[in-house]
Amino acid sequence: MRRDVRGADGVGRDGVVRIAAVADVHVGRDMSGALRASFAHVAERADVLLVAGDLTQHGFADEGLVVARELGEVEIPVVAILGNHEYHQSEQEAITRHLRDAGITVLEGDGIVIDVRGTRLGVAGVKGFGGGFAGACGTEFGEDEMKAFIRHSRTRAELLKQALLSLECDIKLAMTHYAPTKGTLAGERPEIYPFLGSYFLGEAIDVARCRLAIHGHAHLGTERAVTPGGVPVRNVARPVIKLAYKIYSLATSEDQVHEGPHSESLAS
Amino acid sequence: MTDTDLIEPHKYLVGRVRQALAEDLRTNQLDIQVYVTSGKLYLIGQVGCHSRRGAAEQVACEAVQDQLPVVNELCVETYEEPTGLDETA
Repeated sequence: MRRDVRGADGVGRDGVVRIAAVADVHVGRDMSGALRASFAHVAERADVLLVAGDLTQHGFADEGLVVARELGEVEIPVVAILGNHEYHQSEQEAITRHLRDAGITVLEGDGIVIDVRGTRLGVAGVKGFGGGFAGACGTEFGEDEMKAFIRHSRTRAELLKQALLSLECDIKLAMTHYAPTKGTLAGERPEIYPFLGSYFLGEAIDVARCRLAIHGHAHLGTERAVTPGGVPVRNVARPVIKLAYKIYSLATSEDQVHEGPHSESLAS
Repeated sequence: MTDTDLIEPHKYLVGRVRQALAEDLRTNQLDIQVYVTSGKLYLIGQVGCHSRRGAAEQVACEAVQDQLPVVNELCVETYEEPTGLDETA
């Protein structure tokens, strides 16, 4: 998949790509209009908007329609993945359809390359799953239910890895709903880490040498951490960032980039 | 008093309330913190709107079944856009 972005007037400059990112917006039938208001100025500030899952509260298709209508009005490319809430009513396919009909790119084990003023920004995304982190994780052993749990986590991560490796781009990002590292889970109770993420995702991100990994899901976690391979990881769950979205500036060269208020620069 | 009350009453009560908040279709809230202290059950955290705040209290009260008073300390979250443009603009 490939899209071209000219960049909003006044936003971009050569050598910098700005990523707006958020997760866990949890829109319900009771919150119509809220999403539209919270992204009113995003196109003036960023080149791309990433939404890392849990767009809905209960997982109903009509909640997805509310999200689609309001995100569909955003004037920069919007790339999303689904989270666990979108699966709760088994209406994830209808939600995906509503989002795509509104022009939103929905990834699940695949990727997109967006041309931002000549810089090829590659984004691969997958929901991911739990299972835990190296040294304290589940294995495909024992009951069928346990094997299925870990197998799902492993296959999602493998899809992410293949999608990342297939991207031909200048800047490569990974987007998951579940956490790829336990570093961004600090603040959550350690007993539930296996339900919040998996090191399989982190391994895929490291193998593909990503510049940045975005995730959500852990509402009580921490924004910043790194994978074991040193890739910056950002937990953009709204209760964590406490903003409508966060902006990350990615340099396309080795130049140092300054940080602005509520934004962060990640040099190459 | 039930058999579970004799073992460790409030731990099980907290578990029941958290399960209810996550699974009840009126809430589906997984991140509300539930504590019992001073003879009361407290709901702590953030929700997206006022109707969700009320729904969480209602679901918690039904799960508690009059064993303890429920204190609703949930906040309605409002998230603003980042202020100002990035300095690199």
